[in-house]
Amino acid sequence: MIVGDFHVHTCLSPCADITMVPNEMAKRFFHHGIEWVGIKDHNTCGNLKVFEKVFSKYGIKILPGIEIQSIEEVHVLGYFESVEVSQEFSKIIYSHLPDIKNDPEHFGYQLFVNEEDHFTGMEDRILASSTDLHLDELFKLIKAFNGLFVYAHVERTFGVLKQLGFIPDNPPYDALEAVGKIKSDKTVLKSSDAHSLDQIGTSTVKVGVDHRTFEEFKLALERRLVFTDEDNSRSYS
Amino acid sequence: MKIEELKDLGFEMVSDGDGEIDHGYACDLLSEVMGKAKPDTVWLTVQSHINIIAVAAITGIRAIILCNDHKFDEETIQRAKKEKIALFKTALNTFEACGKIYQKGIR
Repeated sequence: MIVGDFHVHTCLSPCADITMVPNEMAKRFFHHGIEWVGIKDHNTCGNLKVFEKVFSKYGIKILPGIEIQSIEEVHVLGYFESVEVSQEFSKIIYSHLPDIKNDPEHFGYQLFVNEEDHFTGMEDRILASSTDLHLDELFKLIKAFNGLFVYAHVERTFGVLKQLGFIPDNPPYDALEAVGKIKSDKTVLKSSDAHSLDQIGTSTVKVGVDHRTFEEFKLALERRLVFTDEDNSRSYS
Repeated sequence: MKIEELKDLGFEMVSDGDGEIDHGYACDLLSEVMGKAKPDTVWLTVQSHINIIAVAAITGIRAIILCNDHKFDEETIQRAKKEKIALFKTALNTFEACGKIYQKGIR
C-alpha cells in the first residue's frame, strides 16, 4: 500500500499560503509518511517541474496535474502521465481564462518558485476565475491528453454537488473527491486540498498498487484500489 | 441612489459602505460578475463566500444584497468593512429583490 494525497496546492495558487514552497512542503509530507502527492494548482501547472525535482530528493513522487474551474464554476482535477503533458494541457487552459490581471491584494499572490524555495516571479493573469469551458468540453480536452477527470471536493464550495445540485451522468467522470461520506459506484478520493503547511497530513488515502506511476494510479481508480481511513477501520472491526 | 436608500426598500443593512449606486446586477457565478458588472453597482446574489468581496472590490460594486435569507460569513463581513462595501440581506428571492430596485429606476 502506498500512502498518497492527490490534491494539494503550491504558492502559485492565489488562495494558497505563500509558505507553500517545495522544500517546506516536502519535509511535511516526508514527516507524515506520504510518498505520492498530487500537485494541483488552480488553472496552471507552472510550478510542477520544480516540485517534481525537489520532492524526488525527499523520495516523494508527484502525480502531476491541475485543478480547473469550468464555466459552471465547478472544480475538476485533471491528472496526467507527466509534467510535460500537464504543461501542454495547461497552455490550452490558459487560453480559456479571461484576460484579467490578478489583483494580489484581493485574490492572493500567484508565485513561481525555484528549487531553493525562492520566489522567481508572479503569474499576472487571474487564476481564481472560471475558464470558458463547459464540463463536457473540459472532459473531452482532458481525454485528448489521455488524462483522468476527477470532480474535486464535490460537496463543498465549487464542488459539482454544491454548484449543480447533483452529479450529471455526462460527462462520465473517472472518480470523485469528497470530504464526507458519499455513495458512488466510482472510486472516492479523500485529499487534504492543502492550501497551507499545517493542512498537510490532514487527509490521505492508501493505494493498493506497487509503483507510483500514472498508469497504476489509473488502474487503482478503475479497480477501486483506493482506501480511506474509514475503509481501514471497517475492515478491522 | 444613495446606499442608505436600500434600507428604505426593506433590505436589512449588515454593514455600511461608501459611494452611490447607479446600476444593478444579479448573478451567482463570480466569474460572470467579475467580467460583466459595471462600477457603482448593487449586486444581488445568494453567494456569501468571502470571494464576493474581492469580486466587488475589483469591479467597483458598491453594495451586495444577499437574497433568500442566506447568512454572511463573519470573515466576509470583516473584509467588506475593510473594503467599505455595503452588505445587505433579505428574505426575498433574487427576482423579487431586483424588482424593488428596478422600480426605483436603477438599471
